[in-house]
This record gives sequence, C-alpha cells and structure tokens, in this order.
Amino acid sequence: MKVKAKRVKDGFLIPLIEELKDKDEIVVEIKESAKQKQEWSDEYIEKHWRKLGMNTNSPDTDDDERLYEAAERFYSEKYNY
Amino acid sequence: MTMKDCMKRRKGSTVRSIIIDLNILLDYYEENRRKKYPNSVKAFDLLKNKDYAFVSSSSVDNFEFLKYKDLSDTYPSMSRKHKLKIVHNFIKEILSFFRLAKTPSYVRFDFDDIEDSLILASAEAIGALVLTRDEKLLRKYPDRTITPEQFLSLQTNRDKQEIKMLDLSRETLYMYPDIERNIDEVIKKSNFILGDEVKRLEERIATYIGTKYAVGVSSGTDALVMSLRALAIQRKRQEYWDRDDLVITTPFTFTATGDAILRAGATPLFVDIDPDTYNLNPELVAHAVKKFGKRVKGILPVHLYGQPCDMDAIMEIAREHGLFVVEDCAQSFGAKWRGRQTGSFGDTGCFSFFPSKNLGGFGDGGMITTNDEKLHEILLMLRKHGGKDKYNVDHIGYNARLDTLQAAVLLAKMDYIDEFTEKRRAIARVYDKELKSIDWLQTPKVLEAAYHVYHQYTIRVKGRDRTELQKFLREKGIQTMVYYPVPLHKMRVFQRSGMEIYKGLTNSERAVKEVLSLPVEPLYEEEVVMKVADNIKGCYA
Repeated sequence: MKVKAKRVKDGFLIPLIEELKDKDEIVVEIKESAKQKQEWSDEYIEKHWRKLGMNTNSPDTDDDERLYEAAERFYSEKYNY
Repeated sequence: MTMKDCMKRRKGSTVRSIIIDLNILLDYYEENRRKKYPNSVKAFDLLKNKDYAFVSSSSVDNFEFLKYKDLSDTYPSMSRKHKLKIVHNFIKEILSFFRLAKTPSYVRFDFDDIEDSLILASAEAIGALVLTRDEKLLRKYPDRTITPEQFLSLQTNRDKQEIKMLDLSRETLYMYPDIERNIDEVIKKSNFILGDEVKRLEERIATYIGTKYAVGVSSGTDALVMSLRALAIQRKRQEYWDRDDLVITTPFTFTATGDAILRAGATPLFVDIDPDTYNLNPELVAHAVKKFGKRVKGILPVHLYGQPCDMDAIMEIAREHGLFVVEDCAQSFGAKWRGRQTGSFGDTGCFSFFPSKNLGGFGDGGMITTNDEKLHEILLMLRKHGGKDKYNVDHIGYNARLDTLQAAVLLAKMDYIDEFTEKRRAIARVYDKELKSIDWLQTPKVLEAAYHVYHQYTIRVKGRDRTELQKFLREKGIQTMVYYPVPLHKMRVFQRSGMEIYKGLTNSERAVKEVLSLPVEPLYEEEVVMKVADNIKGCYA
C-alpha cells in the first residue's frame, strides 16, 4: 500500500486513512536510491547545474495537464519549506 | 493543415515574428525530450538570438513551475535553493536568446485554457505565430500557430521570401522594450503636449549634432518652412521673404525642399547636381551667386541619400556673400563631413523623423538644430502659434509642435542610431563589393571627407532599361524604388508659382531616369543582401 505524505515545515504529514485509524504509532521505512543518497553542495550545483537540469525525466503527458499540479507543488514548497 | 496550405498561406510574406511556446522550451532543456522531438531543438537553435524570436512573459513562470517539478521528481533530496538555481539559470539563458513578448491588457480569455489565451494574446500584439507542438492549440488556431516542422520547412524556402526596402515592424520589435517603457511613461503622466520627453529629446539631439539648441517640430517639412521664416524675421524684419528673394537649392530632391522655399515667400533657384554624389555642385552654386547677385539670400543644400554635401565649399560661398545656410538633413541623421555632424554647419539644420528615416518615429516629426540664440527664440514662438504667450502673439505662427509621444519613441530609438547606422554601412559595403564589377551599373561614389549613413543605397543604371531591372527584381520578390522620378523644376507647382534656373539641369534630368534605390533594411542578414546583389547580376544575363 502506498500513501502520499505531504511535506510540511518540520517533516511530512501522512493522512489518517482507514487502515491507520486504530494505530497509535507507525514505522516508516525510507528506501533511498544511490542518486538520492547524493549530497548536493553549492560547488557541485555550480559546476553541474546544466547536466542535472538536462537529465530530468518529465512524464509523457501534456505539459498543460501537469501545469497546475506543478504550480501547486512549487508554492507548497515555497511557503512550507 | 497540410504543409502545402501552410506554404500557400505564407507565400510572399517576409519573416514573421515567432513566439516559442512552453512545450518547445521544455523540449530543448531535457535530454529525453530532445531525442524525442529533434525538430523542436532545430527550430529553437535557428531562432536563437534572432530579433524576431520571442518568448511570452506568461511562459516564464510556467517554465519555472514545470522544470522545478521535474527536478523535484528526479532528485527528491535536492534542496529548494539548488533546484531554483538550476531553473533560474535556464530561464536567464532563455531570456538571453529571445526577447520577451508582453501580455497585453486586451487579452480575450478562453476560459477552457487561460494559459493558451495569454500566449495567443502576446502573439497577437506583435503579429507573431506561436511555435508549438500543442495539438489542441494547433487545431483550434491554425492561422496563429506553426509546428517546428512547418517552421523548418519555411527556412528552406527563404528564397521565396519578399525583400522590402525596409521592415519597420521588425525594427520596432527589435527596440520594443525601450519603446514600450517610454510610451507607458507618457500614458501614465498624460503630458501629451510638449512634455518632458520633448525637452529631453531636444537636449539629446543638440548634444549629438553638436549645436547649442534643438527645437522639436511636427515634421521635416515644417522644420524647413519654419527655419526659412525665422531667417526672414531675423534678417529682413518681415514675416516672409519677398518673391524676388532667391534661395539656391537642388532640383533633385523631395518636393518639400522646394516648396518650403515657396511657403516662406521666396523663390527657389535651382542649381544642378554633381553627377557622382547627386548633391548640389558647389562650383555651380558659386557661379549662380555671381550671376544672380544680391537677389540670392541663402543656400539650402540637401544631404541626399545620407551623404553630406561639400560643406567646406558651401559654407565658404555663404560666408563670402553673407548668405544664410539651411541644411536639409531629412536623410542624413548621423552623417558627417570631416567628422562634424550635418545640421551643425548652417544657420539651421532640419531633420525629419518620418517613420522610414534613419531615425524615424511613429508618425510625423522633425527637429531644427541651431547655434543662434535669437533664431532659437523665434523658432520656439513660430512652433506655438507665433508667440511666447499664445493669447498674445508676435508672428504668424504654426501649430507645429512635436508630440510628446513621438519624442518618447525617438528617445528610445536614439539608443540604437549608431548601431543601425553601422548596419546600413555594412550593407553598403556588401553591395559595393558585389556590384562594382557590373559595367552597366554605377555604385554610389562617396567623397573622402564624407561619412555616409545610407538612408538610401542608390545605384545608377547606365545604358540599360531601368524599368526592366525593376520588373526583374520585383518578380524575384525584391522591392526597389526610384528617388526621385521627377526633378522639381519639371513640377507644375514650381513652374506656376515661380522658380529660377541656373544654366541647364542636365545632371538632375539624367539622374531621374537612371537612379534606383535598393533594399537597405539595417536588420537584414548578409544572405538577404547577397540575394539582392546576385539577382541584379543575373538581370540582362
């Protein structure tokens, strides 16, 4: 079962779904890929920004369709970071 | 729409402005998408740094949102700071390649897709097509959109594109942000009559030309009339010259030069031109002064096509005989004689800001330059109904002010004048090089002391039918013009209203039959100029 946890100021918020409503405590296991383990330094970004930017993997959907979700994500991170 | 329909629709048009849609920007800045949409990449690369390529202001933050999300999804542990750094670097690069097209205030919203409404409004404001892969947009607005494939196909058919003398739309868009900012300022203040911008332009032009004063007026023609009137007031204490008073000028010019003399009360004395420079022949001017004696009151040289007259000789004649000199600088903004600007030699210099001039406004406008304080005072009065106080005037005046809006536009365009002059001179060098070996054609002769600004690049067709050349070029989509087809002394207005002629005007009469001006749009690429030259070479072959 996958649940989406929303980013908030001090962590992540997991919604109280049916399966969790009787729990007092849950354990969350985070699996990190090698890429995710990488620590980004200012110097690294300064040197590799173009390559990093060009190697994104946007989904094969219409850009217009993803626009509003992208804007929502952008502002959610802006005000909750 | 088929490719054929697309070509048919665009046949005969010069290059249209292009606004690059968001999806094309995203295609360019992701490796996966570059591989999937190579035509987006090719189109983007072709449009880079072109003065007719834009991105809509409404696309900038949308690019930010989408690229930021793609970075977030690909690198979940990357900080916001770093993601923003990457995105903003891409945006800065995009804005270095392309101009920004504003979203105008008269957007027609389609509430099914507000984002598309904004980009279409940007395109409409500047007469651009939207370069896009968005199928919905392409289907709904086929006349306002173009796919990368269609765009690339048009590039291979550039030989079918029309070459006009000038492309004013393209020039305006090149300078658009500066012009827009200045116009917005005037609208905000609503100081439409003799606002700050007029004074600032006058000061800037006086400094540029090298005179103490400059007076913004309604047109180059009015500049000439008012200069001559002011000199009559100053020298004869009369509102107008007498019909017996002669002003020497060339018959090979625009009619305004001659009729300004008539409107100021005097009579034009036509003296022939030098056949190589097309300007007043100073030797003949000197002889004409000797022949007509005290009747001659002044000289009105025209710096035709942007080449200055021999001002050493003309000013010497004027000094010797106590004549005034009014320079007709309508075609010579930025031209120099021995390093000194035209418009700074005579009692006054008269400039035109007609849209097609080297420094052109958004309508009619003009400027008079002078070092004479008294003349300056008189000109300020003549511009405004003839007095310092409009309710109690001293002279027969005019309503001949330069609009604040025009001054605002011209202030913006002044920032580009030297750059554009150099572009014109570069085009002239290409024509000179490519056309010099054609035996039936004479390229412009430039005097050593002259800095020519090529308001026109004018050739002379010798021993061949000029109309045949014009027709041949027109069929190739190349525009040419004859400046001028009728010399002034052949016009009814001068034959009826009065004129004098010194000896024959053979050179002028021959010039009107042989001269032909070629396209000289400063923003034309060298390949466009070469196309004109190559086609000229091909005529009569």
